Amino acid sequence: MTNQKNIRNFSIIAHIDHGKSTLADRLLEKTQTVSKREMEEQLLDNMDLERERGITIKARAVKLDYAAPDGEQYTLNLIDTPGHVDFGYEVSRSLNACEGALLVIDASQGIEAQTLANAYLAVDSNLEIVPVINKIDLPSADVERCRREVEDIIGIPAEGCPAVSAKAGLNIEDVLEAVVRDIPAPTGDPDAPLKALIFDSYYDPYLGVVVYIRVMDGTLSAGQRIRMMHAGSEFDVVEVGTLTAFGLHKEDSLSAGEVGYITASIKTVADTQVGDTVTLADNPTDEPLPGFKKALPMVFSGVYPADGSRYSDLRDALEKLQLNDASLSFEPETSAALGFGFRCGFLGLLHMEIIQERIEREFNLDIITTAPSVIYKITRRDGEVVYIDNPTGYPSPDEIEEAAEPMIHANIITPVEFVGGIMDLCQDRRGVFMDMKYLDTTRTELHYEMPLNEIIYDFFDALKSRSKGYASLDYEFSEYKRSKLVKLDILLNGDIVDALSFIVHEEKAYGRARKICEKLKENIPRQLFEVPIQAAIGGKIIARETVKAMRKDVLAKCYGGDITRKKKLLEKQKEGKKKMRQLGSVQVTPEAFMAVLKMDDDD
Amino acid sequence: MKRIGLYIHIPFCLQKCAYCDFYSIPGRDEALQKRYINALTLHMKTLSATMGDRVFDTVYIGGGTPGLLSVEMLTTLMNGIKDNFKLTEDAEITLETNPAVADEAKFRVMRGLGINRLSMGMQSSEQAVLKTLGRLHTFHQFAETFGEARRAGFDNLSADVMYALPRQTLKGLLETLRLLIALSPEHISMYGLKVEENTPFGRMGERLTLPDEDTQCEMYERAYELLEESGYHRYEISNFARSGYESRHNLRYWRREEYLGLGPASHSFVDGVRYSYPRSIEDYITALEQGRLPEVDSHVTLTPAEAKDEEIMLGLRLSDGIVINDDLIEKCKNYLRYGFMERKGNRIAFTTKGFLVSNTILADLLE
Repeated sequence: MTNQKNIRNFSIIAHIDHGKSTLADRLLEKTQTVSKREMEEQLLDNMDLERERGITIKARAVKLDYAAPDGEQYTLNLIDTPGHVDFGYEVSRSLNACEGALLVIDASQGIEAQTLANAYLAVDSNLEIVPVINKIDLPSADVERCRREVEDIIGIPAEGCPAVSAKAGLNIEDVLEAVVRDIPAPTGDPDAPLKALIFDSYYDPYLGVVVYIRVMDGTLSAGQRIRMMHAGSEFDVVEVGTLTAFGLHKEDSLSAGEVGYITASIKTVADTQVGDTVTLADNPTDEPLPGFKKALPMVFSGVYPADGSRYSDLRDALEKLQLNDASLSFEPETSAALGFGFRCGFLGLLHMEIIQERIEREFNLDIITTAPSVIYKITRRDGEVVYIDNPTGYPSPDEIEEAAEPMIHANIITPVEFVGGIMDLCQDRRGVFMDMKYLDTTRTELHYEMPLNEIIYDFFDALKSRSKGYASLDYEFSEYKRSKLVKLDILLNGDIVDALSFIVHEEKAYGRARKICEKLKENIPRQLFEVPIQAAIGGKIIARETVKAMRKDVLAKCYGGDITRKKKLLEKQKEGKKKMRQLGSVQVTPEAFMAVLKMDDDD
Repeated sequence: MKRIGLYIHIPFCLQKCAYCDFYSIPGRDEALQKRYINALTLHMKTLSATMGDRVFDTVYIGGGTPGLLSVEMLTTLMNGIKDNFKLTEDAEITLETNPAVADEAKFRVMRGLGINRLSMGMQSSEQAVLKTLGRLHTFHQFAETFGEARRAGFDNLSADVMYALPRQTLKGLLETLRLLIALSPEHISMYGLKVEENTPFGRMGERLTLPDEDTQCEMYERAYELLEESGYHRYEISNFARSGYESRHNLRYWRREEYLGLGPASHSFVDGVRYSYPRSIEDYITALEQGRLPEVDSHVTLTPAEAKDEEIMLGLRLSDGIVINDDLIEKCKNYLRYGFMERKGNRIAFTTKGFLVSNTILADLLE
């Protein structure tokens, strides 16, 4: 066990692509926790998807042994955090497990929306922030400007902060020295009743749930009975230990100030919620650690197997994903159009995309997803308040006394030349301008209050396209606000297709309706009969398109008795047909659903 | 005694048409033609013994343009057929030809050899359309050749026309048909253009402008009406005839009766097996010259399910359609209700509207 004064617990926070993972790699290498030869690029991010997207989805932690030039031996616990707004709560819990944070800033980009959002989170958690200016090897690097920004915008001293190139391995020792020098050692009483913070967990088929904890007070060892204070469940600890670059390392005990893991034959991550406090069953602490929140899904969508017979495979996939992701919720749902599927709840859009992609990749399932929805708060005429996350369950207009939708505070940082376009975009998405700040002469920070349902479709894409990729976005839920909402139904050949219904603000209903009808027209193959596509609010049709009937599809040549050609042609046609979805009397390609989801206002 | 048809592929023509992807070699290589006819004769000799008690009641000499073969070669070929296979007294013996490759004298020889039906490529009466197709003749030449065939004693003449062609209009197609009807052929085939990949048309891609879908449909519908009014009844999706002049050989294909195919790219259906020869005249000739049988390209013994699918796919090309059963009635319920199909006693058949979208419906009906 390391002497408490030689422990440093810290996170690395950064805007996406500012080099967080690369810096982590270098720290591992420099402390010889991992040798260069063993070094797999970006060791911390080991899910394929994370590498491709360059983001960390789940928090990780690793212990580094650092022999400092002063002759002391230090234990540095690096706690990695997710880098996206959807995971803001997870970030805040990871930060709470630390005493300090490295704030990585790309020397050529400067401070961006997530840099700021994460820095504020770190400040809120009373962390010592050590700015690290990265990518100084780039020709466009401007270290001085970054230092000024850190001091002016975040308000922390940046004089003499490390300026490094993680990629080139430049000045990495400076970072380690700054960690030891500037970040305080943990405090906490090893003899007090146990108080440990859960900041992550994952399911292992052999060990059960492996829980990542930071011990705040007390000492924990194998054999003790623990209690999860919020979940209320109790377990007998099987093993405790530290987290090395190569996996779990068993120890006799974990004490105040230390970071490590516990296993206790826990069957589901639902019992080990991030932010919960672990204490001893027979000697509990009085108060849990502050700040616990149950992870609540904000975005919902129907997920259906493209091949209806694979429903149970989809359920297996979701169950397996949920083992490691307590924030994913799902329950069975039936759609007249799509058959059996699940209503899934996600923390946000990115979370949704990641889950959908993992279902397709890791479980080899083709899925159809319905338009994402937020949770609407409806007050009925009879005074009952209901929360609706599925347009199918939306009450008819005459039953609704008042409808409210969730609002968010959006924080957008953009180069000044794109401000006009972005303000138009926010305006178009029903954003209410709150304020605007110049970060420096070239960049602006915009604050908007916006309905969440306006950003769940393609707001992020539109923002990127209007700013040539430079603008960054961060948002958090603010409150429910009264709104004029309507349910828009899509009818094919006169029948409502439940999977295509969605809730939209009254003012936007006509535009969206027209656009969806057009998109569907492009994506519904011609059938033997004419297919009217209609959009309706209540019983009123507000947009209409028609897919003309197919009139000619024939091969009637006589090839001297060669019938194999025609056979092949028909077989191919039959195959194509199998991929289609039958919606009432109409056949629709699975792409039609995607086309409706990926509506781009700019086209 | 079993009845069977004989198909002989003659893969020679003067020039490839822009839409054609049949196997044929353009030019006038008489030496090759001669070797080929000899090879065919050898082939027939070898197969003769394997035919058992089968009698041939149809013969179809297709191509290519078999009409361009010399009188000597035609004689060798016909003698080969008659020497090796038992033909029925009333066998239908068809030969395909094009305008301006045979004259009255040659037609007389053909008639004398026992050929009793000619199928002539007309395609269109419009010069601009013929040119686009890469046809070497004019309408005038077609009409002349047609007259020569009549004078030579042919009383069963068929002509091919095409629709849905580049530069073709509805008016132009109907004019073509009126001019053809005036010549009073016994049989008319009308095929829609299908752009095949490895043809000049196929290579033109987007640059090839065809009549739009509605016009193509109207072409088929109006042509059908005109032909019916003029005494040509549609007995198959693309074939029209005066009563009693339906092509007996082509009917074999749709009725799944046996046929023996000879020559490269020819197809056979014998004893429940479908097979074909590869598209190479060299391989075919060489094998037979060396005393071997040519290698077979594909060889498929049909399963009962496949045979059933074929019955539907092929039988529904006929105006008489196929015999119905409960399963089929259920599957075709909506097609019947919306006028794509009709009941004819205990049979079910496509209507004109149904013929036009028959691929879509067949893909639905097949197992």
